[in-house]
Amino acid sequence: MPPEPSTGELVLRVRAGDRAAGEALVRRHLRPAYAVALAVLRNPAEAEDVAQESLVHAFERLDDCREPDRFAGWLVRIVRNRSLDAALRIRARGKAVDVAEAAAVGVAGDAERSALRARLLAAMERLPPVPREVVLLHDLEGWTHAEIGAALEISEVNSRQHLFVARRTLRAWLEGASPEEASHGS
Amino acid sequence: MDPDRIDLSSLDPSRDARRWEEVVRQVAARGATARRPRRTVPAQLAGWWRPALALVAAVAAAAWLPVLLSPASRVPAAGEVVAVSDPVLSAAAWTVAGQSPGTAQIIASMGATNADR
Repeated sequence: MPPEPSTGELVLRVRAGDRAAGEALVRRHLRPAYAVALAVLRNPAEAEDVAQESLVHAFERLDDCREPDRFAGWLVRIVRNRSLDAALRIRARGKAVDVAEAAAVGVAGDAERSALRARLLAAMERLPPVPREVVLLHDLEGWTHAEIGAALEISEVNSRQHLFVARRTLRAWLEGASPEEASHGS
Repeated sequence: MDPDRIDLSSLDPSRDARRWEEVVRQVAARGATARRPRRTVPAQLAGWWRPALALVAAVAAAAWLPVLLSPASRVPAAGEVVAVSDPVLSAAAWTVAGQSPGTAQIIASMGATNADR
């Protein structure tokens, strides 16, 4: 079985008009894009929309990606900007993010999972943006600290620290303790 | 497996694999469309010149086909005597023969040429 092409190779092939490479690139980066959008928006449905739009936009502007091997970081910046725009639009519409409503989207008939989603999203609210991105990219996407560091433009050590704090805060919230207790507890 | 990992699977958008695969395909298709260069109207019209040229050539070939296949245009076989109707050739023949053509011969030569055309 041939080795998986690198992201840089896929980017070059998409530029040359290879549709299959385009699908592979989307398959590889749509979930991380969703994770970053979710970190900003804390609403899975909105995050999915923003992630999809960001990838389409990235394809349109692919020739502007000067370092194809660093496509992930370039995409993260697009997703962040678009997520912030979306957050402003949502706020302007006077529609605050309703965590319970957001958690319920797309999980009809699965009350337990829906409740867990609501708790996770509520806990995410307590985290600053970067630790939120780190924990989602690491624990949801399975990215390494090296990958996270490169994409978010932070050091690997920084990424580890953010993950440690994020996990402790989330766990404390999920187990019912307040974040203050959690941060002083260890 | 990292034992400290927090289970975020309830936030995973690809839990429904079939739906996610469809989303991936749709995004890839939209991406491919977005990459297609948008051409101006003159550029789009200019893009048609090759097929238009091919069409004109085909029509011209079809129009010429009956003429090319007509008996008048066939190549004479070796030794076949062909009536000379070209005024230039006629004049050359008269010169070689030291002949002085009469008015009727000249008119006939010219007339035959005109009739051919």
